Amino acid sequence: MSRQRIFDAIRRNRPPPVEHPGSIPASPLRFSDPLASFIEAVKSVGGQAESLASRTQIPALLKQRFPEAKIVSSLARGGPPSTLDLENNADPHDLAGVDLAVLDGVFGVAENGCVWVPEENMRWRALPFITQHLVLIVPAAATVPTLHEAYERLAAALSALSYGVLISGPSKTADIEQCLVIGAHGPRSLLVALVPE
Amino acid sequence: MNHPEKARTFTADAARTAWHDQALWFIRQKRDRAVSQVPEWEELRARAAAIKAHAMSRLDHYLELFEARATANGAVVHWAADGPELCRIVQGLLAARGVQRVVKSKSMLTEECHLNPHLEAHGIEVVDTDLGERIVQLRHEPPSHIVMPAIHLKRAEIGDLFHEKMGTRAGADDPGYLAEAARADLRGRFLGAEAGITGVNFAVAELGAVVVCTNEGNADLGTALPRLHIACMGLEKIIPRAGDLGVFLRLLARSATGQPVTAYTSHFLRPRAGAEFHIVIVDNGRSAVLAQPEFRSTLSCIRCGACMNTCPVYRRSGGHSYGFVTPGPIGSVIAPGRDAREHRTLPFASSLCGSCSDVCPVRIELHTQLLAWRRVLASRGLVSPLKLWSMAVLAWVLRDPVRFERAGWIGRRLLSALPRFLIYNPLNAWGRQRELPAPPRESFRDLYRLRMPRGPKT
Ligand code: SF4
Repeated sequence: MSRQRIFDAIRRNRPPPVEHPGSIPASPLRFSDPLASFIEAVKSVGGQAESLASRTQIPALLKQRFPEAKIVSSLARGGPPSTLDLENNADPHDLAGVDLAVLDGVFGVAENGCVWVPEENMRWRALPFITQHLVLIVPAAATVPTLHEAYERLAAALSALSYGVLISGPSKTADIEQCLVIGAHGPRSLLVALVPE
Repeated sequence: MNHPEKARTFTADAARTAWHDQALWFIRQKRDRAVSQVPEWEELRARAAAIKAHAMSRLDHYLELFEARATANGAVVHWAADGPELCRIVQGLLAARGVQRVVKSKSMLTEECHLNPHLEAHGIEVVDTDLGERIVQLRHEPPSHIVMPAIHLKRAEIGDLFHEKMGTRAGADDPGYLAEAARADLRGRFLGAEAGITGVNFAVAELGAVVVCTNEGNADLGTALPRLHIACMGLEKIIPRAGDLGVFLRLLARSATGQPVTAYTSHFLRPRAGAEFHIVIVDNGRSAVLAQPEFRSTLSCIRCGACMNTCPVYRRSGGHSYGFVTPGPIGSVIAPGRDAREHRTLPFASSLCGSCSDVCPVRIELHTQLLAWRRVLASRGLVSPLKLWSMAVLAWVLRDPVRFERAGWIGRRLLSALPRFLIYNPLNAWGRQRELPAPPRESFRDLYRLRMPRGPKT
């Protein structure tokens, strides 16, 4: 069997053992104001950011930003009512017409504008990608400086995870003459709404 | 055709060569700006190299761990010794489920193993969904770059292609308009696909997790709709721990495109409810490289493309001139390991300036390996007699200071005295497509003696 052949070859050819360098020391990139850096990073990767005083402001913000959105899938705490029944929706293909998805993000990463979104926050893996526009609701205080701290934070959760994604800005491509085009296959815009908790 | 011959076709269009050169240099500069934002960059590179060296030294252990964890997660792991076996496994999985339409996100491994033609020969439609890959797929040509597959094409050419294949307006070449047309076309294909195939950027052993990085979101959309996800990975993609991800992800996008991170970093651990998740682990020559101390570190490559963006030869000769799935400096050290005779000119497609080694995020000493390959090729009699002869003459001249000085003197006189047809003769590769500089009247040593009449201190 190929498996055995591959392992035999590896055991025959592997070099003498080399130590793992150990856990990685924290980055010296310590932002004096991680939240401000996170917001700046979200904007620099093509997203938008908005700070809210409370979750109760979410529906009004969305009404103002997305007046045209007809089909809305909202799974975020305090989000607007969904126009789509996500729980009993049995096939992700039914999400094809979604204009706006509103999901809870767990935390932001200051160095690169990433927001962590595990599968349980999206119900369908397709949702944050198939939607035309994506809004992530992120607790402001949960911002970490770099991906290093992000994985430290995730350490316990990862082994129980099914699927999770770090999202940094809307989908994009630069495959035509290096010209940046926002809105490749996924959402055409990303709005990160920061809430107190 | 070998590298110099293919490069000649590319450089025949001088304006295009200059454009290509600039496009890549622009990305190199973006990389430099992104890197300057990270004070611990060198520390990260050293860590990344050390983690990979560790992982390769215990590769059997980590592959077993990965397999056990992934299996416990509900994924099915398959092993392929070579490209044809990968093709058979994937085609078998598709055939058993009656799959006719597949969407694929970027994977250099399936490119290396010629998966698309194999599946197409079995009547399966395979659509590359990364925009750059889609463009080259529609043109029936291979990617010319591992991160930016269509970097060799101008917008007008893509406009013409889309006009013919997707019915965009004739002559329209606005990137936004063209990308929108591709989005609309591919949306339908995503929705119609019965399986999604992805590559793998990192496979985390302790989690049994597969991590995929994209900007377009195509890997996620392509696997979140159909009921079958097949991830194809080279066995060197293994990293031991989740914490290691932070190191590699902080290096990858900054090195590749100058972005702080890709738009999506997706972690696949378990199949979604009602769907299947298969992982095919491919050797295809990789385990043999483990036995070669000089070239082993090529297994650490994270396919960022930085070494090609910076390479003066790649920038001016284009990815297709290499005739191998991975072009540029890293391709030139991998390719001769696969077939030394076929790729014997690639280790010479370098000025040995070392820029590739300087930018490589996992510190592969690429230029040293290029030189090492030249030695190997010479010992196997795979270097052209003219090159060997000129090297022997050069070595003879350089070995003796007096000989060197005399040769310089003769050279300076000859270059100014000889008629053009003798200097730019077919044997002089340095006289092709360039004018040799006017020789100075005096050598550096002459000038030095003139200014230091008492002779240099030693
Ligand atoms: S060799 Fe280094 S620089 Fe080149 S693609 Fe691989 S990781 Fe990137």
